[in-house]
Amino acid sequence: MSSKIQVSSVRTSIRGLLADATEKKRNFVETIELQIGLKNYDPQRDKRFSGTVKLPNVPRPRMSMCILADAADIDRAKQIELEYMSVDDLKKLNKNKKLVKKLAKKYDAFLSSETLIKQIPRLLGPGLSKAGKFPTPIGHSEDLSNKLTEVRSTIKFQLKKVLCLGVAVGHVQMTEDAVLANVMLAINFLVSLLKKNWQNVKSLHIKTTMGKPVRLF
Amino acid sequence: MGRGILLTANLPQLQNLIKRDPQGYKEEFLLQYNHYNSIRRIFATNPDEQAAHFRELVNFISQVATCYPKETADFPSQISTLLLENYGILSPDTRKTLVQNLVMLKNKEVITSIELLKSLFPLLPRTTSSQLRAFIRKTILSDIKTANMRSKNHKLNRAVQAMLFGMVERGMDGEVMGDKGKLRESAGPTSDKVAHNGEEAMWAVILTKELWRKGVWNDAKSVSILALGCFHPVIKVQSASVHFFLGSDEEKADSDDEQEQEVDVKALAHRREINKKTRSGDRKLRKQLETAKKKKHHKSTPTPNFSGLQLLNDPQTFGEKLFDIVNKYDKRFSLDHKILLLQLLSRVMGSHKLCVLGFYTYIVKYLTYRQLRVPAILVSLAQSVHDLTPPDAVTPVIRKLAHEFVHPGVASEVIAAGINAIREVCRRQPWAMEEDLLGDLVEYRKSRDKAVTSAARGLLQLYREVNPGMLKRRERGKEASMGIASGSQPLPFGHSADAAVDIEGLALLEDHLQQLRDEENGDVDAEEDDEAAWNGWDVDSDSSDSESEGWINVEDDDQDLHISDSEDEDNKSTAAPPDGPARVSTLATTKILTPADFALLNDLRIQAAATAVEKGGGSRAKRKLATLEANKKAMQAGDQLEDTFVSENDILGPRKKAKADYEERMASIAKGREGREKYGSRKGKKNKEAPSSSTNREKARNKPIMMIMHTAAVRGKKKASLREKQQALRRKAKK
Repeated sequence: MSSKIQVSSVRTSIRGLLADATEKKRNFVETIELQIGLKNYDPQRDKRFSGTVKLPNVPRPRMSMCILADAADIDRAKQIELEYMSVDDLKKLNKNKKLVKKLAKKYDAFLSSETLIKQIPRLLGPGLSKAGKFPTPIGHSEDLSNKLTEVRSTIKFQLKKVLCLGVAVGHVQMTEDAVLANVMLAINFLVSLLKKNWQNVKSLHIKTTMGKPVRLF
Repeated sequence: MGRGILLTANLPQLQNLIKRDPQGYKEEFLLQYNHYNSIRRIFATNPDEQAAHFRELVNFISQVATCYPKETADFPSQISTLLLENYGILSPDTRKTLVQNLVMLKNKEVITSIELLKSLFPLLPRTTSSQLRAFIRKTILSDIKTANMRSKNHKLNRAVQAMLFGMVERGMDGEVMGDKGKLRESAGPTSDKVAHNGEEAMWAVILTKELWRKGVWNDAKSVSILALGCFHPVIKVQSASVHFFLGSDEEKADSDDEQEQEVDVKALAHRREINKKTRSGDRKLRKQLETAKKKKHHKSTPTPNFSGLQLLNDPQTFGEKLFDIVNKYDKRFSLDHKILLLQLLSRVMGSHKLCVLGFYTYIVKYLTYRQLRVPAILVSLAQSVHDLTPPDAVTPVIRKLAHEFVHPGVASEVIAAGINAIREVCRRQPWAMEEDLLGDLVEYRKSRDKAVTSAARGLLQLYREVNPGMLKRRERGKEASMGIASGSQPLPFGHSADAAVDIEGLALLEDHLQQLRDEENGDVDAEEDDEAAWNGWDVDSDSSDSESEGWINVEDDDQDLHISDSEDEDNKSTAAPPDGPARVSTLATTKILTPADFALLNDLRIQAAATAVEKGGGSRAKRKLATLEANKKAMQAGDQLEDTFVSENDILGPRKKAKADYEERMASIAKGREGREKYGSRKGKKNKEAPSSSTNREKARNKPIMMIMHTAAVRGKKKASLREKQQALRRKAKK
């Protein structure tokens, strides 16, 4: 194991990763994922961390989104062909856990009109927040498509029941520099979140969806 | 030794011979085995007859079972069925022998651990002898522990956990008895079956807790056994499982293990010096030291352990079921038990961000200041709220709290507790507060009681930070008013703080590095610099395997190196306005930050916070500085316990010295008496080696003069003639 991480070595591993991906084309755009293993971290005593960071380049442009919208937002959603659900649609779910779970599974992220956000926990129960997909509120004055890219380029580090986590940091059609910038920001941000910084990091890997994992650290 | 002298009755001798030559003595063995079989059949009907002989035979067969695996194939199962089916009619001695033989068979690997445990588990609740029970319990625990020593034995764990789960589950359909009122447990004659089930489930819970505490099990499956235990109809089982999740009995019984494990190295060496010096002694010492070292090393890298609450499967359903139980059996449970359940429910709600909205309407009826143990209830109310709780569910609760606790008609402690509880709720969900109510509550900061003022100030401080718009203009404070003037809005419900674009304070680091470069005119190459920073870390990361402090020391060296050439620039950088428009530093995307960078970054942040405080930044800036410094200290001193839950002291607030209760008074009296002589007359007891009462002579000497004056002895002296006086004088002089 190398005990330090250099920009140049990260660059070469990303280059290798991208080369492998172009060599063996899949029928979809592979995602590049950063996987992190932690150490010296006692989840019982240390506070469980979570943090969101906006990456400079959109890692998942094809993320499926849905807006839980009031009347005005429905019109806006229709204009940019965004899928939406009205309050009545939500009421039809009737807090049924299975249906909420199905809804949560169907989309990668949710938006919600600011006026509706207060009712969300009542309408849907904790299903969405449990899946880590509690909707991002959007005001009537904000630009919907801008907000969409913002949500798409935001990644969330959250520790669950295990001491490792993975986030999508890019896809194989991005340029090497773009992937590099994303990876570096993600690593730096994560390490700054940890209490003992690099001492808490056991391993860092990047991998494409179908490719081999490459160890960075 | 010829075969002729072999007595069939002398089983130990036969055992000895068989172990030497199994094939040769096969016939004798078969004879005994048949004998055993026939006695076993008699035994089933009349266990008292030939019990002693039967025990001997069983001992003998299990000793030699390894020699004849084919013939004794069904021997273990016969013993376990005998134990399980005829347990009630066997004599205590026989039970003990049978259990011991089963354990021996397992040790000789005739039967597997699973088979052994399968026959031992049902015995636990049925055994009446505490000695045998302790033996069985110890066997089970040590068996599972040794199986998991090297690596987790998943197959065994799965089987055992399934068994334990079944033990808890079997009693689940019983009726909840409660511990209050007529339907109390053990009152009815019909409670026999339920009690038995409870016993079984209790053992399952105890064993699981024990294994969890020892770190043998730390997976979700054992948590699910205990989660099921929380809904068991028997109160004892319920409260044992709830205590597990609350973590209240974690520390209690730890000490015995500790002693068991700790090896006193010094004492060993000392003993070596004193005892006779032999080579075998040396070897023993070396071995012990080695194991001690291994244990120490093992201790320093504990396996990460998620707490039981976090491992719950489907917390929402768990919470709802728990609430159903509390709500449904409200009348049957005692207050203490209800509080226990509420405590657990609120923790689950808080840590998993659940919505169990019925909870808030339920708890309202307990929110009166006359309610027993109301601080505990307030604590669980505060814990249950989180940032996704709908504010409109909490608002009525807050209103009721204010109405019940905060008015001039109650003691100041009550008011303080009420305001503190409201503050804790609002810290988690600021939108539950109403503007008028907040105004009223904040007025209490002018109260004369210290606890009340500090509680009200806490509330004011909280709203200055999260939502100053709700406060009256003059109560907002300088910083918050400036914030409102510059148009900063409070975070509306459901909004999470905006995603970070870069790391906090990274701009500071960039400035700093830029200045360093300018100053040095690039005579140190950036790449080299980087290398050095990592190198420093490398060295100590190696050494940190043995001791964790190593890293810090070297990091400090790094610091010195930086500061030595940048002392004067720090002033410059602080002179430059730090509150420029927020800009995105490109550093994070172009460079991977080294440990030294992070240390520097932390220092720069502390410096920035300190200057903010000096410029009069208000309490928020101060608090930020404090947390940053605490973080730094924590890094150096190891981690302190992070307490995410509310404690009763947070609700009660700082209190005046409470009036002592009877026990405390008696204790203080007893303390005062310590080392003091008893009160009372010291007469005649002073200055004497052996205390005694005063003598007649002493008494006479101390008698009041008026009483003596007219006595014959005194008057006689006055009347005495000169001659008599002379005689008396002479007599005295002679003496």
